[in-house]
Amino acid sequence: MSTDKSPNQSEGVDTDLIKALVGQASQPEPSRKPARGPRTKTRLMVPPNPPNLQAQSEVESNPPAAPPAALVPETATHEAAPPDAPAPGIAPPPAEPAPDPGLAWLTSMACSEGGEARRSSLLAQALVGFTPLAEDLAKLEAEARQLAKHANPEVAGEARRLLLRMAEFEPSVVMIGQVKAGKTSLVNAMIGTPGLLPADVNPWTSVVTSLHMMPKGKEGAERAAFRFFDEEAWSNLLQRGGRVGELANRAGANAELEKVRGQLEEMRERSRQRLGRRFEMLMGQSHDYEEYDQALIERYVCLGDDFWDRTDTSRQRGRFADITRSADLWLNRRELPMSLCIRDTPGVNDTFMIREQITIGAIRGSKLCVVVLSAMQALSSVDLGLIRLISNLRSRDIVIFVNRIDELEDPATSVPQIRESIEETLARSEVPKGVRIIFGSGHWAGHAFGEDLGGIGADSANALVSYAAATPGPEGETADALLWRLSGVPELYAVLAERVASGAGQSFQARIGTSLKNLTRTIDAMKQAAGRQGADPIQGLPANPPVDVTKDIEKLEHEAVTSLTAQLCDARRGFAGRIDRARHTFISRATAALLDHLDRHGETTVWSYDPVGLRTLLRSAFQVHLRDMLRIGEDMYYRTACDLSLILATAQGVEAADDIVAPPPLPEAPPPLALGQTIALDLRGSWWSRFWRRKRGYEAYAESFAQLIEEETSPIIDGLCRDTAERFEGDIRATLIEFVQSQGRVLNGLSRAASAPAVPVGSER
Amino acid sequence: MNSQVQPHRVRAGSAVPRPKPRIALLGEFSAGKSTLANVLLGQNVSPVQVTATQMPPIWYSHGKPACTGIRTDGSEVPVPGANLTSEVLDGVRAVKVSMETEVLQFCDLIDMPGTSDPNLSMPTWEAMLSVIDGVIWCTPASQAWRQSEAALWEEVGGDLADSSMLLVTRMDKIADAGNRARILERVRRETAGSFSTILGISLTEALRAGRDDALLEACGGHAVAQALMEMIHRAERRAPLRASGTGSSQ
Repeated sequence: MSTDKSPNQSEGVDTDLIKALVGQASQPEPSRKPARGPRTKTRLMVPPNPPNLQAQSEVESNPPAAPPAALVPETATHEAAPPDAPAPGIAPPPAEPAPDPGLAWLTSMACSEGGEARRSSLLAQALVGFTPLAEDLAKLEAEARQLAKHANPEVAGEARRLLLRMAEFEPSVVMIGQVKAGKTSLVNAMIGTPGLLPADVNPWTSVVTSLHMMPKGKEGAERAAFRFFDEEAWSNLLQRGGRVGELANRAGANAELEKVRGQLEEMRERSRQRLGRRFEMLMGQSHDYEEYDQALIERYVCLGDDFWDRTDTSRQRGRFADITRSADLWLNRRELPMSLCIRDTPGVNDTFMIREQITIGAIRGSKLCVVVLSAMQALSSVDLGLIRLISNLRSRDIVIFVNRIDELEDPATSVPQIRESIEETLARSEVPKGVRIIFGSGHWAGHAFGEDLGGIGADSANALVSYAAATPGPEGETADALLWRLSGVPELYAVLAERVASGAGQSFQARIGTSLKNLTRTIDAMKQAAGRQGADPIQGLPANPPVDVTKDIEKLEHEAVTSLTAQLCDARRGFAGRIDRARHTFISRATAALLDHLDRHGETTVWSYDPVGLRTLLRSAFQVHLRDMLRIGEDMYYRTACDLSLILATAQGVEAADDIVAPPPLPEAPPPLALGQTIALDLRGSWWSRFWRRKRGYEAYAESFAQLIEEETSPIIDGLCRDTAERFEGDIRATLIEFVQSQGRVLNGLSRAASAPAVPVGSER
Repeated sequence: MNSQVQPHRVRAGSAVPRPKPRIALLGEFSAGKSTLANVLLGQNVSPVQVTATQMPPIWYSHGKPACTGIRTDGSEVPVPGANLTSEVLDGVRAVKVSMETEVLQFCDLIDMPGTSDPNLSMPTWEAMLSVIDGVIWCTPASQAWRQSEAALWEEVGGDLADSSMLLVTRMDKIADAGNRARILERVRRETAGSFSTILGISLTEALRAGRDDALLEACGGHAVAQALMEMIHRAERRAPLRASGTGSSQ
């Protein structure tokens, strides 16, 4: 190949070479590894190579063999400033900020009075969206409070139970995203205390931190609790399924679990050495504090870069961080109309992959997720993998927050471009439609509370000016209000309030509402019975002989639960059958495609088959099962409510009516998160081609393919059955039992009261 | 040209003057590769965008100003005025740009498509990567060196480790000097010798600096230029060795 010529004539060479490369690349080549001779692999996590590091630190002092010929300045001066470069003088080096248009503009603006008043007003304004739900809940609460004063201890007890459940009602939002997307700073701004949770330039958060905001009327001690890992929780970190790396097709994804295991071992060994005998003692324990500050939080939450080789000054920092599993902080936020919990999670796509595993664990139990992206690199394949992982949540439960728009040169132009690009990519991928995308900056939000708005920095101020011009606000907007509005936090809260109200809020309201209604209806029915039979409390004669319905209730409960369980069991069998058929349909379709491929192309080209069909089949099988379970539950609840009405009527000798007691609403079905798990077919990378290359012969392909699908789908099916369907069965059953028992308690109590003359029936005072 | 060519070994025998080292600009999308290309070329040729660009690899070499798109089938499309818009580039799998710019007298530069772009086609990326002699990997300071980068470099880095530079860009976004040092420190520790040089730079400041030596020094431009020249020399010293070791490309 005499293609190489002297530099001056090398144009043809390159062109030919590029053509060869482009042509070669167009061949199907699913492997990520370039085809070439053996290479020595450089491993991560090996000790640094001192000669290299030294060489590079000496670059400046030791001039290289040939003078660099001032490469950059020489060429750069031939051109005027590039057209897209910002006007000169806008941003001086950050070390010494000089007068600057953005900052000057910002500081010239009127600003509301600082301190607590401003913080409070900004927060209240952002949180106003929670008011309607809070008011509805308050009405229910007032009703329950009335009933809690009822003279009958059973009625009052039921009402108190409901009040307790209302006090405990706390919708939660989980913030997830890549490492350094700015989650922690955003969360700090959202709760109105910039700097409460430690944030750093290097990855830092390693614990799921739940911030419980206690609203006005529910204030309490601002306490903290830190829970430590135990063996089980640790091994759960290594569980199979739903790994971001695979969903994102990240390089080396198939070997990640081994790496995580190694990192975990290393981490545990270090903690064991550091904590000595206390290590074993701390496992599974928790540390509770009546108050907290930043330094305390840092001891438990911060697992940062200087952690391993920290000096004496930072001994306390991160002392327990590697064994802390979760942190819970309670804070009073009078601006908030109702309770709310915000969960900050460690970032995914960190080289310290344990963080990612912890976050995946936190997603499992959550309903409402905010995916935080960095505007500088919005929606990378890892972000998309993360969204896929939660994509079996309904779209109303996923919000995308594009953070750090303050770092864009010109957000006014870039934000619409980024939005378009995200929407295009989402449309192409297998994620729910209609995910809301919000742009903002936790950095701006955090500074809106502060005295010195100029603290946002010169570049950031220029970006703010650009963005403000594109998104005009109300007349006479103060500088802090502008910063707060453009930070996106108010918009984020407005969307979250809407999602909470239509999701967790609505179903909670329905549950409590029905319980309260049944309570008052039962009381009314008893009152009616007492009135009709002319009970005379003064005479002290019982209106009815005391009736104990305990037996009836127990019998009813037993029969209802038995029948429900039997029906659900039937449904489960039907589900198993549908799953099997789905699997077989997919295998036979895919095998046919495989054999067709082998006929046409032989064995040398790698075949791939899209597993979307399999997921669709499994998803529809699951949905049928879900519908079955809902129907069975609804039916059973209705029949039970009729039976309860009948017991009540019989006991009190009132006219039999089967609609005195209303059935409780069905519990909410959990999302089929298991469908988000990765299977081998999802992996277009090295794993699949190795599978392919190992096989020889048609029979072998077809057979091992079928086996592969069998093996690969089992965890998904297990997950669907165990984690989702069975959990839901349990919820349906628990709701039924709770319903029968609480009705039984009230009925018994009222019936006893009706026979006891001293207490006027139906007294509500 | 033989279709079964092994591109990595497309090398001249020792009798023929060897080609210039090929330096690839790698990194995830929006990490600053195109801005770096513009800084190095001293011209605003490489399109810079805030989103994933889906731009094919752009191969810059020294020569009379010209710009050609190359399709999968090898056909060439002239790109007048080097106007690299998506309409012009429809179906184009690579772009070749010749310029008479100083840096290209020493090496070819290849501005590679950003990885971690959900829409990136990896085969082109891998094929291109197989012929290069040196790498400048850009990673933004604010989110420096994540698992998706570390894992990819572990797969493809291999024997490029001794002529590779990790460039932590957007240093201007980190206000505090101590923090800038800590980011470099962490990245150094995590990459553990798999790059021969690790430097920080503010590319926007380098663009603004023009010929101002003090400003170039301050933003990290000088150090990068020096390190690049060293990398080129190392690649040149190594090239004959490679060629003799792999004379199979006939």
